[in-house]
Amino acid sequence: MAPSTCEGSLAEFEGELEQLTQALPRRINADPERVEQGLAKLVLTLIELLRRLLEKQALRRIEAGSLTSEEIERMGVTFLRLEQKMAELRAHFGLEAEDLNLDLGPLGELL
Amino acid sequence: MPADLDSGVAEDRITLLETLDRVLNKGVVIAGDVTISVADVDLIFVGLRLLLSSVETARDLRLGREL
Amino acid sequence: MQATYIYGIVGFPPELARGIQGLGGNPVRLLPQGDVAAVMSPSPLSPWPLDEAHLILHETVVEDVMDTRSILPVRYNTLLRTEEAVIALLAERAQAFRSALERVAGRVEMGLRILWEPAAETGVAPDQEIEERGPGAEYLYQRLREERRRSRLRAEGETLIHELQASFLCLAVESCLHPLPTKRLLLTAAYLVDRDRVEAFRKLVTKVWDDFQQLQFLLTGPWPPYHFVNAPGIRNNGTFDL
Repeated sequence: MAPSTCEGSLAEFEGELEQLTQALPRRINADPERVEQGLAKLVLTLIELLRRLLEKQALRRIEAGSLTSEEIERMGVTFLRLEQKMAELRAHFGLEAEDLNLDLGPLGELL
Repeated sequence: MPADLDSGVAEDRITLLETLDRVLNKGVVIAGDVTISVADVDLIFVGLRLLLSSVETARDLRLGREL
Repeated sequence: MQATYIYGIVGFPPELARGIQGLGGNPVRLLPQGDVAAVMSPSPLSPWPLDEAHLILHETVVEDVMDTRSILPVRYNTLLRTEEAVIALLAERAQAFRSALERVAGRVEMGLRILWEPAAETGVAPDQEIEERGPGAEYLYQRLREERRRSRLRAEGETLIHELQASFLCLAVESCLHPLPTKRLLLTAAYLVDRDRVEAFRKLVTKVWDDFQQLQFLLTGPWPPYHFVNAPGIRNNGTFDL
């Protein structure tokens, strides 16, 4: 039953597993602050999903050569600003980037 | 740090994480009466995946129709 | 304490082989309905804490039962108000439970995770003429390079996984894959293996590992068949059955 692998990589697997699993969820209580943070998490996760989808679209169009350099610059600046705004919002709610954990299964391939 | 002490702790930790992943996230989903009311709050934390499941599915889960 | 906590679903008969202690020290027993039964213990009507001790205890109960028969593991903190509710559940989903039990009869799950070291980025690929670029364009072109690299890695990873699968499927009845879940993980996978082939499967994984020295393998199990209790092709929480 003990996991079998070579000694050296146990710690590394541990690290990856911590990333993947929810570990012991911190979310248990229902006090108002937590609920607010939970809502923020959901909303920001949705925004992050949209941001990624839009960015992917933009990259496709750049590759297809269907944008002028002004358009590319403008879009890029917008995405930069959006990313900065997201970081501010996350910080406001005490969330890390990893907290907006999107496990979309097969949809993940869209991103 | 002695190698076996290290690996003992890491092994235990890994076993725990693997167990958590299965016991919390996998296995048969039964819409228990009590878990639904807890799940209403949980929904907020689980994210987009649950939102994407249709209202139909959610209703069926509630009635225990889906495995 | 009239609510019931459910650990898993088994075929019925037989009765449990021995006494098992469940959450809160309450005795585990079977609640049968026709030829299926719920593995349960009495419980107060409130969710159990999400801490190491309780989660491990839940898993221990499931594995104890699994010692002598097949079981469909049920998610942690599944509580039903009454025994009648359990009976109704079993009656309603009897067919689904029966097929699921057939699918895992005499089988266990082996878990595998593989680390890899994808080749380092080979410098900055010269793309279009590097004219003066504003910060916006620079950002997007950087992202474009990243996306191209990610696609290349994904393709590389999938080819490698395909190669490995060819060997593992010699001894596994079914597999459930989650390719490239993180940067460092090539694969997270679950394999449904006949009980009496677990040792052979272990040896097989060791042998394959020998042939792929650049990878690190982590093999765990035997587990109850967590990844194989839902109908094939249907989402099982973020992974597809393949």
